[in-house]
Amino acid sequence: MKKLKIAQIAPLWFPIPPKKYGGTERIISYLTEELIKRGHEVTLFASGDSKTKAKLVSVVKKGLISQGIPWHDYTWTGLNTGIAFKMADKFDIIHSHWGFFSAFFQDFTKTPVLHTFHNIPRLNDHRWKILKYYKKDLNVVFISHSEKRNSPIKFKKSWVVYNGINLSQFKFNPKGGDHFIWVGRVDPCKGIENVIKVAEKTGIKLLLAGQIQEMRKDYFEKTIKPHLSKKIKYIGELTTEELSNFYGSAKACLYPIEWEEPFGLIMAESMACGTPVIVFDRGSAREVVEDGKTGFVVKNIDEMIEAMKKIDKIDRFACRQRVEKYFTYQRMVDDYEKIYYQISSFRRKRRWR
Amino acid sequence: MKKFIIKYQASEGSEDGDESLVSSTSKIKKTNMKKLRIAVLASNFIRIPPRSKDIPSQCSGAPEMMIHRITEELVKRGHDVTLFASGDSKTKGKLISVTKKATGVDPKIGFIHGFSLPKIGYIPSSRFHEPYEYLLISKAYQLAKEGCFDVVHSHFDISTAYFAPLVKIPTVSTLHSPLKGTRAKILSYFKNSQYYVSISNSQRKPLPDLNYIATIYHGLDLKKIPFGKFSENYLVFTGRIHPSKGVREAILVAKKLKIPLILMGSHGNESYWEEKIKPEIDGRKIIYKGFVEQKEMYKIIKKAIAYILPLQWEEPFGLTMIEAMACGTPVVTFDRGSAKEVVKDGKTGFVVKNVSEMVKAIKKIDEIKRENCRAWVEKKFTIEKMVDDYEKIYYQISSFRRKRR
Repeated sequence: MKKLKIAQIAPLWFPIPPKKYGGTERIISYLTEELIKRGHEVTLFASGDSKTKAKLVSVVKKGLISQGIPWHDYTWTGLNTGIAFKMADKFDIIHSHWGFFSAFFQDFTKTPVLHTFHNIPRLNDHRWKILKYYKKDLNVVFISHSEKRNSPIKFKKSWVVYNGINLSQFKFNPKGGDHFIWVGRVDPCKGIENVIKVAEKTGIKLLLAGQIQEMRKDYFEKTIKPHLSKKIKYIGELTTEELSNFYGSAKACLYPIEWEEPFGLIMAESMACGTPVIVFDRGSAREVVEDGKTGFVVKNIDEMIEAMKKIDKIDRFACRQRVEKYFTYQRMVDDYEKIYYQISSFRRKRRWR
Repeated sequence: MKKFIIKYQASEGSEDGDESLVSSTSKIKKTNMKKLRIAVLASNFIRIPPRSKDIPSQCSGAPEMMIHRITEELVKRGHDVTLFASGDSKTKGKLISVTKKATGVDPKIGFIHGFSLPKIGYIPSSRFHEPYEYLLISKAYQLAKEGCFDVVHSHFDISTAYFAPLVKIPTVSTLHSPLKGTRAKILSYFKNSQYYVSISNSQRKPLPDLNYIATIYHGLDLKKIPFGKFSENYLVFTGRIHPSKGVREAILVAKKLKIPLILMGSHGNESYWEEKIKPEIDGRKIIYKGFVEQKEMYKIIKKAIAYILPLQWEEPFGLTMIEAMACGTPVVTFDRGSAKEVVKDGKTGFVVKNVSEMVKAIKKIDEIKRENCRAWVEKKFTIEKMVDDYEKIYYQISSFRRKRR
C-alpha cells in the first residue's frame, strides 16, 4: 500500500504531547509517532514546544495556554489552519483535531480532510450552528458511538475510532488489593460525590486521585474535604508511573459519572492494569467496559453497591485482554489508517470521473 | 453595458502653501470600462451602516461607516456589489449574511464557557463571535472560487489573508487598525497573500514590506456636515474616552488656557473614565455630553475655536479630525500616527509635540482660516475621492490577474 503524506492539525493550547493535562494532545502524539513508525510522511501543525519525529510546523513557540492566551482567541488557530491549508496540495490527507475550524477551509482544496471531534460540544453550543453549514461535506470521526449518537447533526460520512492508550505504561497486576479507587478530575461531572456516598454507606476503604483545577479548589474544600477520613483518602494528582501502581493495586475502580463521558481513558487504563471498573451507564461507559466481564455498568448508587459485592467474579486478566484488543493506540492508528486510505480513494474516484 | 474610464488626480496635494484649496469634483467619465462584480467583506460584528446603538464601547464604528459609504457609492456607480455582513445590515447592493443580527450586540450569540487550568488559572468565558466571521469569509471565498466576483475587498486584515491565496481572484484588504502586536506578526506571514490598502502612510511604518497597493484616506459625506464660519470661545473633543486619545491631556490644555472644553463620546475604558476624567468634569469649564448623535455633534463642533486631540498612540487615520475640519474647525493635535497627513500644519490646524506647544498653538488659532479647513477636506477626504481610489485599484488588480493568466 502506498505510504501517505499526512498533515495533522493539532490545537495549539498545549504542546504535543502535553506535559501533564491534555488527553487530546496525548492521542495526537500517539497517532503522529505511530504513523511515522509505519513509514508515512507526517507534518504536524502544533506549538513549537511539541516533541515529535514528524516535520513540525509551528506558528507559535509555546503552547497558547502557557502564554496566557485565552481560550476564545482564535487568532492563532486561524493562522495554524490557514498555513496548513496553504500547503494543502502537498498532502494526501489533512487530519484536523480542532472541532470545526478546518471546515472553513476544506472546500478550497482537493485534498480530503478528516475531522476528529475529541469531545462534542454541548447541545446548546453555538459551534453546532457553524457545523450545520457543512454537515454534508464533513468527514467526521467520533471517539465513541455514544458521541456519535449524541451529535445533533448527522454527518453524511462519519466513523467511530476509540482512543488508545500505551499499554507499556500500564502494568498488569493479577492480584489487585482490598481497597477501591476513584480517578479523575475533581469535578462534579466525574462523580466524586457519588463515590464518597458509596464509601460512606458501605464502609469500604476508598482512595481518590486526580487533579484539582483552580476553579474547583473551592468545591474541593467545601464539598469533598469534609468527607475525607482514615477510610476515604485523597492522595493528589499522580504521574503515569504512579498511576499504573495505583490502578493495579486496587480491587475495583468506581466511576459513578454524572455526564456523557466522551470516551473515558481512565476506564481503559484501569482495566489495562487488571482492575475492573464499575461505572454509571452514561456516555461511552457500555462501550469501554464489558458489563459482567470487565466490570459492571450500573444505573445508580444502590446498584453500584450491589455490583461491588460480586466484583470477585470478574477475571482480572479479561480486563487486560479487553484493553489489549480494543484500546491500544496501535489499534487506534490501524483504524485511522484505514479511514485515510478510504477517503483518499474517494478522492481518486472523483478525479477519474 | 455602461462603461467607465477613470482619470485620477495625484493623491498628494502639492506642498506649496498657495495652492488653491478648491473643491475637487470626481473626474470619472463614463466610457468603455467594464463594471465590476465586487465582494465587500464587512463582518458580522457591527451592523452596516452602524447606528450608535450598534457599536460596542470598545469599537469606534469608523471602519463600518467607511464600508457603508464605499459599498453604496460603488452601487451608485453601477457596479455589482455583494456585501457580506450581518443580516440586519442595509445596502442597495446584495447582502449575504450568516447571522440574523450583528454578533457584537446579539445577546443570543452565546458564550464559550470559562475554564480553569493548573498553574495558569481561570480563563474567562467570552462571546462566541469569531467563528461566525470565518464562516462569513469562507462563504464569500466559496463564491469567489465559483467565479462570482472579479475582486474581493476585505475589511478584515488578518482573517482573509488565510483564504485569499486559495482562490484565483485577487483580494484587496483595507487595514483599519494599527499594525502592532499579534496583527503585525500574523500579517508578516501573509505579506503577499493579498493587496493591502493603508489608511495613512504612517500606518505602514511597523510593516513597510507588506504588499501595499495604495494609501486611501477615509471620506466624508460633506452634504451632511454643516460649515461653521464663526466660532465661540470653547474647545471641543470627540471620540472614545480612552487613554490613546489623550482626553486627560486635552483637559490639561483647556485648564491652562482657561477656555471651556466640551467632551463628547462614549467610554472606551471604564477605569480611565472613573479615575482620570470624571473627577475633572465640572459642567462649566469641563463639560461632558456623553455620546452625542452626529447631527447634534456637528452643531457643537462647528462653533468651537478648535478641535483638540492630544494623541497618545499612533493614530491610523483619525476620522474625527476630518469631521472637525469639515465643520470649519481647526484641529490641534499631537504629532502621532497620521496627524501630519490629515492636518495640514499651519493651514488647517497645528501639529504639535506636547501640552505646552498645544497651549501656544491654540493662542494663535486665529491664524487658521476656517474656510481652508473645509476646503482641505473637500479636496482630500470625500466619499467620491475615496471610492475613485478604490475603483482604480480594483481595475488595476483585476488586470494584474488577467496578465498572470
